[in-house]
Amino acid sequence: MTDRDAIRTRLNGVFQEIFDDESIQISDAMTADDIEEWDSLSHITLVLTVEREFGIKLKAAEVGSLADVGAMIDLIGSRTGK
Amino acid sequence: MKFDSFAFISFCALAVASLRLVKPGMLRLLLVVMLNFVFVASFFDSLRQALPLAGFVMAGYAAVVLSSRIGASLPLIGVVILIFAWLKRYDFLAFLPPLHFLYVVVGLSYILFRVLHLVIDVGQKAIPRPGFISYLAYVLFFPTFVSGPIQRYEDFDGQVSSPVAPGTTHELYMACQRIIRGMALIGFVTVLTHFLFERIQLRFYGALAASTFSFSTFALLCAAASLFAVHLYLNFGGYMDIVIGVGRLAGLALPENFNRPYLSRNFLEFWSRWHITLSEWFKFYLFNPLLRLMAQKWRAPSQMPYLAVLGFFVTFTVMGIWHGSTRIFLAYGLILGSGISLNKLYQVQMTAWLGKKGYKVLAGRSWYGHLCRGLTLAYFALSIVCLWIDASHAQVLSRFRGMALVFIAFAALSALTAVLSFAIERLTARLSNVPPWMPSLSDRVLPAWTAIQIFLVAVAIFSVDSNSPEFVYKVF
Repeated sequence: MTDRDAIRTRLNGVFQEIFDDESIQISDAMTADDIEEWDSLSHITLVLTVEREFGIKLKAAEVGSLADVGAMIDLIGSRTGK
Repeated sequence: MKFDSFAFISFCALAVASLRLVKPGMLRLLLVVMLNFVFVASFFDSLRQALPLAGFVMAGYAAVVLSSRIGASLPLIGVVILIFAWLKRYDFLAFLPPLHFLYVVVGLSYILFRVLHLVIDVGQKAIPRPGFISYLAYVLFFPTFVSGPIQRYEDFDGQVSSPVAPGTTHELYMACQRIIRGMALIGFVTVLTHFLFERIQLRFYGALAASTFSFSTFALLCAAASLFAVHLYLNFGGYMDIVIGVGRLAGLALPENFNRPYLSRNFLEFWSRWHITLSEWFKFYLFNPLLRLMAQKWRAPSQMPYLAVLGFFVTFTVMGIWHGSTRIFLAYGLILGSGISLNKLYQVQMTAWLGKKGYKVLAGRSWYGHLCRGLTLAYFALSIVCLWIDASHAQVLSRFRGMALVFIAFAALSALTAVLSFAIERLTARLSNVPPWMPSLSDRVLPAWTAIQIFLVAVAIFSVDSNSPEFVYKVF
């Protein structure tokens, strides 16, 4: 399993927990448009949970401009050095 | 420089040609700065009038440099906001001595947003510190100087530093078409809407002076509020058409500021479709950090929706106050903040009562959608009464009978807009149902419509040039 896959697996768990849906399977191209519950409110909950899960702190610009799940995985990878 | 003037068209033609000819690099940045200076200078009669704005731009760069060294500290952000509020003469800073000469603050509000974005993101090491020339090219960028859109620095820098794509004939035609549409809106259509609005506004003031609570006061309030909302949309939308069209001709993609806001079915959706770059800015730098802060303090997931309600209230109140320095804009902020937080609270409660699925079924019903659209647009039209009413008449409306009048107008306008929304949907469905062998409506109409718009622009520039009203958002 590559580092990216490992991050994706952990991140998938975060998504399932935040959106209370065990059927969610994230993909790189997935955006807020693909998950109905993903609004500005759940986005902040998601960011806080990601920060706790991966031990990182996201910047204001990063919180606001995460375009899709792929960008989120890349960002986590760059911050955790994986 | 008015947007529907011969001077502006000439300036844009020169700017577009020179930006296309000069290769990316320092020379191009210097060209952008020079174009910015020429454009900005057209708003001032003397150098003295421009000194406060120049001083704010310099102070902004000092804050960006400082934040790159010490980080984006709250006191630093506070000082930048205080200088802005002092120059704009906000009521709460009335105890500070003013500058004893006349000066112009056009574009200052939007420079503030760009400067704060740089101070925060450079301070957090999210973007590199721009050099002074890049900074001047960005904060004073001529197409977006007066009223946005608020482009992010990394987006601007990436485009100015890259070779310009030649663009297809169709893309260039569409950019020209958009500029023509914008000019027709600014120079002709909104001249008419402004003319009509001013007359209704005067009659409304007269009716309000005679009786706060009468049918004519009610009808004139509904008419003035609706007409100003339409005027503001056409005026601001027209301005955006020109700005974005000029940008595209020069090979630069500026962010869109509107996405058919009249289709919104709730207040939250409305602000994701209206003045989008302003809403995004507030989301990035106020709502998100505020909600994060509150969520870290009160961690229970069940409290999150209520924290969001509070977050929306604070964010939209501040957004309203940004529009102006007097108490009426504080009221505007509170009305926006109350509207959006009540809307969010309603969604939270409805989800709790009906369950996620039940609420989704209700939201999917056609009649419910039209009703929500009516409520949203009516609330917006009545909230922006704060942008045009004067202080003495606002005081009359803030009393009990005035408030009752506003509530009745809200109910009537909501119902009327809902019916109109339903009628337009039915009519659009009927019009789009053309036989496949017929050319589509836009193919038939677009060239003819463009020709009419060119005629209107010509009329605007050569006959009524000095009569067109000021661009509404220029004063904020």
